[in-house]
Amino acid sequence: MVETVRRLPLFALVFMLLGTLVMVYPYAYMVGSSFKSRREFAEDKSSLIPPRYQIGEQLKHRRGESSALDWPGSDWALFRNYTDAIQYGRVDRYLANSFIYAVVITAVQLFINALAAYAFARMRFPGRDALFMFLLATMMIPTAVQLIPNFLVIRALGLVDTVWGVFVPGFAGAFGIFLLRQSFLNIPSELEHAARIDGCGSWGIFWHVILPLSKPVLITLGLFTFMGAWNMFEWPLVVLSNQDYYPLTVGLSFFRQESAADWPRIFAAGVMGAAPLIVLFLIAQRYLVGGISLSGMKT
Amino acid sequence: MGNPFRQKIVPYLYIAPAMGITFVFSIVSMGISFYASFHDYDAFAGASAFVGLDNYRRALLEPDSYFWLSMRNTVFYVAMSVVGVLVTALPLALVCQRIRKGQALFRTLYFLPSITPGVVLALVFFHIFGIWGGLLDSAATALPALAILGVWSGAGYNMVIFLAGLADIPPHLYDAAKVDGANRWHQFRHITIPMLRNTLVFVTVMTIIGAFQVFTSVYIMTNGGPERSTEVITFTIFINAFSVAGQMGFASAAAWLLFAVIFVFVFIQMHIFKSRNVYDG
Amino acid sequence: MPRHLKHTMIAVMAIGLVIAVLWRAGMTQGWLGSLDKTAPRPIQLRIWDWWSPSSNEEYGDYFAALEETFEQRNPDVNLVYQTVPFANYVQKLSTAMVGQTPPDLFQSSVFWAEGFYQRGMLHPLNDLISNDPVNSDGSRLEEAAFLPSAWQHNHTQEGVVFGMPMIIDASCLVWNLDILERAAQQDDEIRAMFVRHPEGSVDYDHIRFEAIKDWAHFRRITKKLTTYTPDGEVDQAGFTIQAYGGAGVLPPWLAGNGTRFQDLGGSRAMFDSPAGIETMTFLARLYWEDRVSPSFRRELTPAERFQEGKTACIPAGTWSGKDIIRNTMGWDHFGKTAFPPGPHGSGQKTVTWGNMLVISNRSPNVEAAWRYIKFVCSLEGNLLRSKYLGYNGPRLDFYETERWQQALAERPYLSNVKQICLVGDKLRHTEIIAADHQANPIVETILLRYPDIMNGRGPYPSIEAAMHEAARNVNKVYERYNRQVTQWQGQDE
Repeated sequence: MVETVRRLPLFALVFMLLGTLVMVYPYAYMVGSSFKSRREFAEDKSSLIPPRYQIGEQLKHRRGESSALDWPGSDWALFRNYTDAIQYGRVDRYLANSFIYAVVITAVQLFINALAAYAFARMRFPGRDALFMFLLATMMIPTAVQLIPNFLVIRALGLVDTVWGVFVPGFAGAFGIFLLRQSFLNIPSELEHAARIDGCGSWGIFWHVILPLSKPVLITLGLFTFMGAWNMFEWPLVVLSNQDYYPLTVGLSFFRQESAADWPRIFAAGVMGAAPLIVLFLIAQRYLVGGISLSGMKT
Repeated sequence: MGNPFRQKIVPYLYIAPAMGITFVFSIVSMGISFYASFHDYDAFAGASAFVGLDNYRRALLEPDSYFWLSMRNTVFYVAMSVVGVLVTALPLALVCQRIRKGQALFRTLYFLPSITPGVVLALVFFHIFGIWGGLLDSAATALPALAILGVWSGAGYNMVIFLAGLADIPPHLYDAAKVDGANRWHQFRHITIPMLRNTLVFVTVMTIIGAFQVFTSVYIMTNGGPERSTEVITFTIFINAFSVAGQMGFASAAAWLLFAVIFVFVFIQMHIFKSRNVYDG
Repeated sequence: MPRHLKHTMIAVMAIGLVIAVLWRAGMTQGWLGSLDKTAPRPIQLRIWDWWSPSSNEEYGDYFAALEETFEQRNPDVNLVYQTVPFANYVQKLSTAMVGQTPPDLFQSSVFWAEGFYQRGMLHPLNDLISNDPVNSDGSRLEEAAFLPSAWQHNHTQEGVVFGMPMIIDASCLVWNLDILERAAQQDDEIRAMFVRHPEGSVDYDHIRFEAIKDWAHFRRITKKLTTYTPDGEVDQAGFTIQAYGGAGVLPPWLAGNGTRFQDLGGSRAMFDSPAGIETMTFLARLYWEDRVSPSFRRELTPAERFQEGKTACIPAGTWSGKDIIRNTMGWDHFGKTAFPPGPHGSGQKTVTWGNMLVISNRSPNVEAAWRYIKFVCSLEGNLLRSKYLGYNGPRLDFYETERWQQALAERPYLSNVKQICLVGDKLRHTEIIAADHQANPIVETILLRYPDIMNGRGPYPSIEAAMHEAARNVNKVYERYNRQVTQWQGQDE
């Protein structure tokens, strides 16, 4: 690597740090506001620290002047909005629903996509290339355009407002087939020959050779699928009515009206909604960030 | 070994689940919606009268369908998004590349919006835009505000893509250029940009396709207002399909028109860049 | 740590997580409920509402009382409540009615009820009413038992009854009596807005029903009550008007001016009549010329400004009292009046509606659902809503009860509520979402860009032109909708 100019990294660092502040500010705002009482939020929308904890307000109170600590609700417990969101807003139910949707969709998608990718990569059969082209073509249909068509199909199948109505369209993932096929093509065929000699049929090869060797791409694809399924919004919004089935995204969008615009509580629910993916991301970022480059550019 | 017939159908068994689902939720679903677009259709009551091309006519010709207004708003949003992404993600990547140690940390921090549900971000920015002077209150600033949210959300993601593209540029090209006396701007213009062509095209196309489908922020923050300035095409389709009685056929027609627009665009860009052998698929 | 131990720990945590998720997930609650060992009730009534037991304590108590009382008297029925937000109600209902778990009963706003019926979603109530109109407390469920203004929306013009009124709501003006009282010390006209005690002194807890004589009087009063900051911004507002969400501000003022938003049959927009245009102009001038309202802010509703004590008057509803008290943590020194008459109107007026309980026609439990309606819409049910939620009821006998007299004594702000409900005109009710989709942006434009329109630099040459275009588009909505209704009714035969 050529090190051209030594003084640049300092400027770069400052620039990036400023950018980080820009990136992180909304999260800080959300978290800070999630601790405020309703009155505090109405009086002071912009501060990151709830007024009752601000040093300025504490000093005013000590001096006997009127301060935030005189407002009703100044004894608001720190995590009160979080417990309210769970108790009244049933955010835990929505979170658990999101989790189930994401896990099931990911598991099924990975499995059936791997099956199909294996066949496209390693088997010869009439129509193979045509079918693959067809698959690529379906990737071009934007999701927004698919909303009504999918609803009409689900309606015809009688799955409207059911959990399966959310699962089934989620099982379709042409992109995953594409990615996995690329990866399977890179597995040396000698390994396959060796397995055949040992008596494995196609299933055996698939299960014992291909899959274990594809762990990284499977994990990456799995993580992407999981995140995509977790963040699903329009589709569950359209197909579900029964509150019990809402994933967190839909639940949050309704929360605003249900809680009569209790914004601190809404923000608490938002924090609880964003946190799981952030935790997942921190644990698995190696796969995710690498995966973007993989998906974007290479052929 | 094995029954030849059985051998023949095995591949089809492997591809059947994935292809079956994909087939149903693309061809079949689009077919049904195409059918619905020629009818009066109610989400509850189903299809009623056949109306021929009336839904399409109404979308394209009648001003109160707001189809063209929505398309115009959407195109503005797309243009602002593309410009915004190129102006933020590329410089960020260029700067981030210089940093040796903190790169991974910055990538993580910048990536946060991409992994946060859009609904959460929309709820937070609803207030942030209010604090910044009520950007969502005026027809002139509401759509740009939404574009800012879109660009902010995608900054990290696109930065990572640009970083990958930049990493692919062989350093010896820069060395050679320096030997020839090229300054940094020259290097940027004649090495970086051309070598980044693939990435630039990719990012632009993905941004355009994504921006055409913006929905969550409109639904959560503005409901199409003020004065219809943020009514984007997905929102018009959604309202007509699901909130209004009997207009799902009209909404299907509008969705097909949107598909046609996106399709034409993607077709054009594929054609333009095909000869350059940029990427496959 | 030895690897197998680490793997075991991870496996245990994973299993624990899975169990926790399955236990708490919304989608498994039904299945988990069926594991309950107590004797199951054979009939399950699914009831949907936009009122939520979880939004605050009062609603929680109300629904708990409802459920407990009803289930005790009807041991064969299990009640299951679900919440759907108001703004998405039509969409969610339509989806649910096509789905696997549609509700048996739901509360329907008058905005949608007729539409639901015309789309074929509702079970008509006429037979149930004629066969079984008497509740356990002796009150009857028929037209004669209700305030006339509550019985306006729940039937077709041919007489098919599709809903039973559960509450009665009316738009009203809510006045901050602290602000008025302060101003009344120096101003006779404002002091005259209050009721007088029999011996002649001013009763600052009660505002007169006829406090505002007409629009000119309204403008005078609100201007007097407005104060400004040094830079010319409105500090204390005489009247807060909201631009976002458009057309909903109009109906009560239209009623005051002798006209309405739409005709009674749902085929013609009337808000662009001369009286309607006059009304729109009046509202725009209140903001731009009289300057009695603070700047339009999307995320700051008039109710919030009122709760902050920064505005003397807001347009709200007869239901708003309890919300204001809860959000201000106990302040209740406010009063309600109807809307004053404009140049084309006469007498105090407003719009009234009675949101109703309806039975879905996919319900297999119509008999049990009717039992529930008989309970909730009876006098006893009305009294429950008064006790927990502060609602006044749509039934005539409600206003004879001791409970109501007691409420009037305890809560002075209720004093004009019955009269306000009596003078209510029929609220608009046809294809509201589609009509608003056309009308709201234009009303927003008129309110936001009034100065430009008056200068000829606006998107419309005049308010009149804007209103005519809105009416044209709304008429097209009605036309399309009515055409479909004919088709649906043709399909049923």
